[in-house]
Amino acid sequence: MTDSFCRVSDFTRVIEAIQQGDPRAADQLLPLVYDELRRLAAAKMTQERPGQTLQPTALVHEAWLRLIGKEDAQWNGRAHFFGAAAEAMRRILIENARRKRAERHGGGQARLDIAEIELAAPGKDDELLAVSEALEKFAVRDKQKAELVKLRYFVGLTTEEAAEVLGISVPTADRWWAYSRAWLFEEIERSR
Amino acid sequence: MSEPDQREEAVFEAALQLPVGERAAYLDQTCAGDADLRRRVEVLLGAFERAGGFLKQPAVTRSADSPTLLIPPTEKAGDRIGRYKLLQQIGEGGCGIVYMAEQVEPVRRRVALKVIKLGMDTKSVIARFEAERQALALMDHPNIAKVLDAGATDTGRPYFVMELVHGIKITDYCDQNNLPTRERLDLFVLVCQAIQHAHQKGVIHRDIKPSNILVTSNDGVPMPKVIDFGIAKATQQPLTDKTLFTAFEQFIGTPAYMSPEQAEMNASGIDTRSDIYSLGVLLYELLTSQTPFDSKALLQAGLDGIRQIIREQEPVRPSTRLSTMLAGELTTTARHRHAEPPKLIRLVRGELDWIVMKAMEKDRSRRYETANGFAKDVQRYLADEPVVACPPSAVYRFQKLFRRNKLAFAAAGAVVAALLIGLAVSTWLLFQEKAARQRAVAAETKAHTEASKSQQVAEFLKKMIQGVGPSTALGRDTKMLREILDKTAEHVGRDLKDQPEVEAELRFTIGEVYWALDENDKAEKMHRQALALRRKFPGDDNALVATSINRLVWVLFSQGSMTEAESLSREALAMRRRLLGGEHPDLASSLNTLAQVLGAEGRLDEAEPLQRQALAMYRKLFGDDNREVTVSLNNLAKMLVSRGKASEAELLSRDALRIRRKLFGNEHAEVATSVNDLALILYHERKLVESEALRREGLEIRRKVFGNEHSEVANSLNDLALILYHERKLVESEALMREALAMRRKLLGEANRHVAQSLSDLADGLTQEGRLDDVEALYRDALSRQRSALGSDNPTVVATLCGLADCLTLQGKLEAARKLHREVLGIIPKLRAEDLVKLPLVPRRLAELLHSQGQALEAEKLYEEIILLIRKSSGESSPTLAYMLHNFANFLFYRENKPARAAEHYLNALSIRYAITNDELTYTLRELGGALLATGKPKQAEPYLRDALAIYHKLHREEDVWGSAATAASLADALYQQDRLPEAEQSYREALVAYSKCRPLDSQAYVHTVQSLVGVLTAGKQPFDKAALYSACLQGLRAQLPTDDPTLADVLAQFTSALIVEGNFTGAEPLARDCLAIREKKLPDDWRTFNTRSMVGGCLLGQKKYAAAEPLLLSGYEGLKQREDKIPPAGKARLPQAIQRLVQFYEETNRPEQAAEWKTKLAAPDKAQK
Repeated sequence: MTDSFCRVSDFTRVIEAIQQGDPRAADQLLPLVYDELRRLAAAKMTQERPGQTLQPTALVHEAWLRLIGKEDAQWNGRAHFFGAAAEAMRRILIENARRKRAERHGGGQARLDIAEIELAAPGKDDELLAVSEALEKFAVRDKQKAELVKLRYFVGLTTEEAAEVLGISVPTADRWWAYSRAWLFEEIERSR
Repeated sequence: MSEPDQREEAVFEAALQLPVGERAAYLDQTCAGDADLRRRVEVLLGAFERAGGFLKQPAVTRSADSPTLLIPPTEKAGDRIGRYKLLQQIGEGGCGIVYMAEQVEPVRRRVALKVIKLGMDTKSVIARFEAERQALALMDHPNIAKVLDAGATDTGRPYFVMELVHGIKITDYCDQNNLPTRERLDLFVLVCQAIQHAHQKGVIHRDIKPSNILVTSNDGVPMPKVIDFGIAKATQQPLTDKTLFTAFEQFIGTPAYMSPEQAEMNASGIDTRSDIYSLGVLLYELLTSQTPFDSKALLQAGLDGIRQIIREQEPVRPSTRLSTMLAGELTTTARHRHAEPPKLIRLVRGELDWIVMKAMEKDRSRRYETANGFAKDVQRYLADEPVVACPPSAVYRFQKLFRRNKLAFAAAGAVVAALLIGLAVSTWLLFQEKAARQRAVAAETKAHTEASKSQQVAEFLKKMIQGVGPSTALGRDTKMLREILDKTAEHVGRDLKDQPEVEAELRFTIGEVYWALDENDKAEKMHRQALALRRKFPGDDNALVATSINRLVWVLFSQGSMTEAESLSREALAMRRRLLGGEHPDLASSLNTLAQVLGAEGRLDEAEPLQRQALAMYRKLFGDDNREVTVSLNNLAKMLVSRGKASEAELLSRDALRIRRKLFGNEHAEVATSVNDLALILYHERKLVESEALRREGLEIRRKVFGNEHSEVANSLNDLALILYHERKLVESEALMREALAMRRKLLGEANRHVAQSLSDLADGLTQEGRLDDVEALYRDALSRQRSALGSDNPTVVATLCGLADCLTLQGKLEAARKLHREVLGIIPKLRAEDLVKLPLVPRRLAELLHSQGQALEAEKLYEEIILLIRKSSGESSPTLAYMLHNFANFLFYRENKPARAAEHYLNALSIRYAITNDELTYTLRELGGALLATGKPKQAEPYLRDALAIYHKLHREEDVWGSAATAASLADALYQQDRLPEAEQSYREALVAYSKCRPLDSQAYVHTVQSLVGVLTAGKQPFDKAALYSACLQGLRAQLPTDDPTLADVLAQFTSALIVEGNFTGAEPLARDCLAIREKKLPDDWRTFNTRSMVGGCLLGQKKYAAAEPLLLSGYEGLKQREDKIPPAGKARLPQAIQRLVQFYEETNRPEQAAEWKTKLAAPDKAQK
């Protein structure tokens, strides 16, 4: 089915379930958002001119608007959505980075000529992978701060935006950010 | 977060606030007595200082003009935007917020400033505005608000500046002032004239709706002003999927006013007549207070639904709308117009109806050509002059229909004649209705008569159509019926548009027949339209709506649109619960429907309880002996088979059959169906003998009920043939298949999918038997029949060509096969993309033949050529392309052993399949994972395998439990290769559980996985007992399999060998004995049974139980020797092994002579072979 509206209702259903405290619902959200982002990205890639890249931030924003089906900035499923989107984007970026690596390391004349999801992610793949790995450990220790890092690093939200998503004040977000950066940097240094 | 972590964080943050020089002192003080804390904070502080630019730059970029997220609009009163100072917010609409603002220079004036909401590409909005600026400047009309300026705010959002209008929207104005209809029309004429002015200056508004027409009152004289000219064009981006969401946003504001060509989302197709349409909608609303299509219903229909409704659905006439309003609503509407309800209806009925409907024609060439023309017609009405608009004559239309279809009508039999009478009657009634209207009968009475007459017509037509329906079941040619239905459908849409109940009823009926004819797309359309009509009937919950939904669900079900089917069936269920309360047949039916939909989605654990509920409810309502009960029993049984609960399914199915025999006697179509269902379940359980007997019974019943030549008889023949084939009763099987094929050909024509299925079933069977000449003859015969019936450029022909090419390939006729292949390539571009999807285009066999002849490059070229063609004809994201890429990758991976290149193509296929999200996605993910593993990239393989597994988990499909097992095993391999042993162990165990559910058990894969698990456990630190692992595995298998299952014996044999190799004879012996017991029972004459005897003997020998060993060793050897020619190459070592055991036996029992004698035999087979 080509209909994105059904997924809208899926999404709404899952969000409602989360808010009603259904613990299984949170697990359903990620694949939904992940699918949506991939689908959106793939759909866009087929239409963009060659060489163009997608902007993850815009992509996430667009997915959000599509999934809620209307613009309603006050809507309280947002934190859940962005949490899932940040994780989904992290995975997508990592897949991309891994794939690029694969191409470099003896992938031959790897000319992937269609629908490759080219995201505007100029960062160093090594850093991306390292951060991602360290972040997994960090999340075990402090889920919320890890979320903040994901939102800022993988989705490109500003401090203000991320603070709003997480429902914290901007100064708190700044403090969290400083701590998270130090922690992650140390973790990466140590594991090298 | 733990407490020490919190403390660490707090200290870190506090220290960070201090100058670097003061931090040590602070830490001394704060961390006194907690050296560990101090060390950790210092490490973090150090890291912070060294981190430099780390994470400062996000991993992703965000361009400067990309929209800001989340932050609510920052503009507020007092802010400046460009040259304007915001004074106060005066409105908020679908696409922006409007402020009253003050302009200081060059002139001081108040203006309206509209800031467009998020999600727009500011640059292009402004560019589009600039492009139209000149035209906008030319407009100068008292009823048009001027657009003055446009720009971008500091936050990057576009804004527009307009002449400030102190007014309220036209519909509100009219209602608040209780404007009578005539005065509303006067006002409307002014609006038309304003639009006419704009059109003359080359400006199309594109977004005419009440909120864009503000009315101010100058000394009691209302003055409409049309606002927002140019804004719709600037902000409506070309409506492609790329801008879907913005388009959708705008849609939300206005779909009710959108013309069909706008709904097409084809910006280039919009002209001034689109504005005429919207004006028509506006007039409709001014007359009735409602829009022709309800905004809420439109939005619920989803984007495609909106398009479809606007493009295809005829709105009810304004007067009909008024007369079908609820009493209260109508009173209010009339009061707002200073009128009595019946009077209002009478006033609108007739000319005003026609005027509105003309403006709103779907075909714009039939609308008013100009806004002025529209205004003039309204003015004519006001002046009591005859209007231009009028309904087309029903008689004329009927004549036209008849003339156009004279041939078809003449050729038709009694059925068509009857239908024709039905159509004629309905047309005649419409004609009468018009006459009656002209005679101005009192509205209420007339509405009543109309309704009852139409009801009669509908009943009549319904009977006619339903009477025709079963003829499809009789396997007759249905072409005529289809034509008649198409015509009727067309007719209904035009002639019944002001009788929604009747129209809905008829559409529903036509939908049913289309569905029976397998015309799912048309059935869907009909049911959707019926549903949309019924949704508008008064009352929130409506039994008819629920019925309509349920039928639509079944159509969607047939089409595989499960997501929508699910949400709709949930809606219907909820509705019926509210309407019907606790227990009711319709409620049970809704439960059944939802269960079936969920089942088809693979969500069997949700589906099963619902199905059981439905069954229980039917039983409670009707008792045991009831048809609905049997249907429910059958459905539940099928579900249980998919869940691997075949034995319960069998019981239920037997129950259903028993009840049906009781209800219908032995010779009845429904009994035949039940017989077949049970046969299928027994077939699943491998109870072939009884299954065959039932199939024969089903065939006999159908022959008696339907006659010797009928599609159901053909189905039965085919089913029986398939089971006979499995029982290796090949001669009869083939004869029946040929009979089925011939019958289907005769009944259904060459292009029918059942015919194609028969053909390929027969060909497959013959191919399996190696009768390639017969296959070739079969295909050549089919080819010539198809070509003469269908021409050459036809998907059916292509399918046959592909089959023939495969057959020729198997015969080694390489050149002939390649010629056919080239022929196929020539036809592909001439076929539609949707035809390609179903065709067996993969040149696998040909490629393999070329490959085996050392022409690997040629083989690859086959794939590359066809991929190129598919790209050209179906585009870059077609499922066909994904399928072909996947198969090419399979070829590269499995045949050519080039996993790296395979991975590349898998990835390409994946990117398409990600966008489609179909079942095949898991295959590609799984194979890609496998290919990456094979290239030594376990880490890269892992995420894909995890994705695949996640989908398997989500879908929970019992049919493909093998796939999920294989994926889990590959994931385990990937983890194992990364030395992540505990995770690998877990994944292997998951794979084993899944493998144990596969039927038939893939014993090789199972054992292989067990051995990998052994590897992981051995590599781990923990000591473990292999024999214990084996017996745990066996316990798991025995819980799933019959105790005497031959595949269980295969596993036992493998385990035995593994233990014997290690010298663990005590552990091996019981396994070997179990294995032997099964094989002696199930395979008494098989070489493997005797090999197992010898192995049991070997186990005893290893334990020095010589007396018991000897007879087994000897009889095992004898049995093997006798069947030596039956042992496949892979098992050739078994005979020497058996001899070796005997040698060892005689050596250990001190009988050197016999040992020497056996040793010579050990050498003998070799000699014999040479």
